[in-house]
Amino acid sequence: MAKSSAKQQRKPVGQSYWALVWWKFKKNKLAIVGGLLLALMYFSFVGIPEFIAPYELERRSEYTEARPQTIRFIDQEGKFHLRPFVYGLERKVDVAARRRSYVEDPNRIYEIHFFVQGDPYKLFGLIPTDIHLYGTWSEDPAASVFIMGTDSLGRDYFSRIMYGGRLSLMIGLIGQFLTLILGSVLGAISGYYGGTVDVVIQRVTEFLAAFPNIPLFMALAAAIPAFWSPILVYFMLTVILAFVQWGGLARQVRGLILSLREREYVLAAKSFGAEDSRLMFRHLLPGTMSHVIVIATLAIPGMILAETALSWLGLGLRAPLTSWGVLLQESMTVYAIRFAPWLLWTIPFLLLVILAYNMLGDGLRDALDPYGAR
Amino acid sequence: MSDNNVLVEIQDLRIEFDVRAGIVKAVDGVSFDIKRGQTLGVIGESGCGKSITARAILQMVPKPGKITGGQVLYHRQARGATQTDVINISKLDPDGQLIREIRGGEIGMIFQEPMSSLTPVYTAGTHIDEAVSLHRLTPLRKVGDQLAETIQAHQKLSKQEARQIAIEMLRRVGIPKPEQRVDSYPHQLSGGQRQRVMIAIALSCQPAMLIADEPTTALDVSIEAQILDIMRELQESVNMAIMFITHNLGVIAEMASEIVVMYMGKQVERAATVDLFYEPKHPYTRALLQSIPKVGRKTGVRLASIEGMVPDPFHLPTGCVFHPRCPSFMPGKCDKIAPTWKQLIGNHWVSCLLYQEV
Repeated sequence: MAKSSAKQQRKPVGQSYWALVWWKFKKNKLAIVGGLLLALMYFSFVGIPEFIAPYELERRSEYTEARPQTIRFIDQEGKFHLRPFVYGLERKVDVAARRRSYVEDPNRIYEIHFFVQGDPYKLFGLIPTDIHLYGTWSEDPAASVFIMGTDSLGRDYFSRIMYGGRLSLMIGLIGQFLTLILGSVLGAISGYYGGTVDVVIQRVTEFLAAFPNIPLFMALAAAIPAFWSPILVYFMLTVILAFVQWGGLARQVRGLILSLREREYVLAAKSFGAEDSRLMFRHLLPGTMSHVIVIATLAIPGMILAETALSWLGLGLRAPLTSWGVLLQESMTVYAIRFAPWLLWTIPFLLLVILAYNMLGDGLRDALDPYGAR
Repeated sequence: MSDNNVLVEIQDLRIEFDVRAGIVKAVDGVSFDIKRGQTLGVIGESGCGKSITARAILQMVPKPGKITGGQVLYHRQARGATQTDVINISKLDPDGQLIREIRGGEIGMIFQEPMSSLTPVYTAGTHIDEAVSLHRLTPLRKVGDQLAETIQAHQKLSKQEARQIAIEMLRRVGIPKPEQRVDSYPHQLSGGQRQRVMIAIALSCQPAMLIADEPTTALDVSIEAQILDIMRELQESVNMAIMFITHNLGVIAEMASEIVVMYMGKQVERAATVDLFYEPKHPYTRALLQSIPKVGRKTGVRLASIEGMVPDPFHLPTGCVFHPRCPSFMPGKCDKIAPTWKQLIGNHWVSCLLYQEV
């Protein structure tokens, strides 16, 4: 009795699993940086690209394939301006090379202002406004600021990257979400039932894994009818990506379920009258989740790259939908790389997202095993 | 009256495991009854078929195993009713609706390993709520208040009510500060507390019978005593039958009113606890009882043990399976003739050629 009264006074001292995970995650600075970077990028690319981009997606200017304007503080006379500015662009036609080029005209100075009025849009699709993060504040209708140049139709490339990011980043998340559902449900069924069901599901995953990806994508993407609306095409593309990629996750989940289903708590739950679906999805799947989250996080970049590659090949998204892959299509030619290298500005953004995901994923992998040695 | 008192009847149950090396007869012709409100003990060495028999009662024989003969009859009595209908459990679909109602709802089970019997991602309270919601029964709050009981029986419980029940159940199994413990995860509980939670889950649906498969083997003796006390108290308050599986003879003497002794899938002796301990008939039972260490015995004397090894299940000895290890081995008889199940005096049954005319 003395023992039990001593127990009564003791507070529960055990740290919860997630507290340990958070504690370990916090120690990994790289993972924190990756996580914050991703949060920032998702917020700006998916949440408020209309605000950050100075122009609308389809807003054309007379400057086609214009070089990026340099942001300056010091003008030609060496005078320092507190407010950054850009020079106006002057078109020159090089007859010998048969091409247009632009040079900066130091006589036209356009100051860059923050929170300026511009093209109207709806913030978060709800609040109508026309305030943009930055822009030129000038009466001159030719005033413009293209910090990353323009494309062949004279559209501000930075604005297009901002809008394109929305589709590219979302396709990674949505596609991975579908993969997660498909992979864990089929993996759980495969591992839990075993036997014929297992054999069938495993052969299907092997078939998908053995099939060369690009031809499979091509075949599936070609099956999307051309008359479908862009949104439907976008949705189908995520489904296709998820369909091709669920196999690996399903195998991992199956392996985990195979070992977990022999645990006594499954037997105990069964002896209390739990049915198969409850055992699979309430008692077994949660046990695999820490592992699955890591795999999923590390697989999202693959998803984004797959979309980019497909769209680049012209098999994925098509204009007027704009994703990073669609943007990169323009830089496919040697001509573009030689004379309009600013069209490669998409790539640093892509790299940054993928690096951030890998840093976060690595951190999560270490953190979700808080009892591990590392 | 005696017939009405029977809850589960096992008749000549045979379970075989078809494995690559051959067929193992895990349970070979076992029959016994479990009566309402009483405790039946099952003892025997590891691997003698105790747990498999228990699992067969819930139609949960593990995979390669199959019931090849005999049957398990469950005398189901609706709550508050006096009529019983007999359900042949061994003929039920193992994933069917009816067996799932019986599992947990009418026959609960607790396991040997309290450490791993709770799903690690759910709190103690969630486990109890799950069991309760699966069977949608409000556990007894006031003993004897049968009318209110049946009214509540088919109500869906609110979250608040379910939590209240979970706390109540934890209090009944003697967990200190149940209001806090209800939100504890399994890894925050000690072994004894986990086993109490298991008992709370099993009892939350007021089963007519509890199968306890070595419930205290993994616990230390002081916790063991507490758990046994709790089980006995609860048994008295709700008139529940217990099938108590163990290889601890001391525990079973304390708990059971009747004992079945098993060896290599066969039952070798069955008797009331007192008779079995004072007048064991089968040489195997005698050997088991002699191997209990006793306080006050002369030091320096080696503890008695049973000679030889448990035979290979693929090559069982001919005749009586115990004959190679039996101190009363009769050459020419025991190795040729298989003994039959025979009633000696009263309710004392034994399967041994010593008590048969051959």
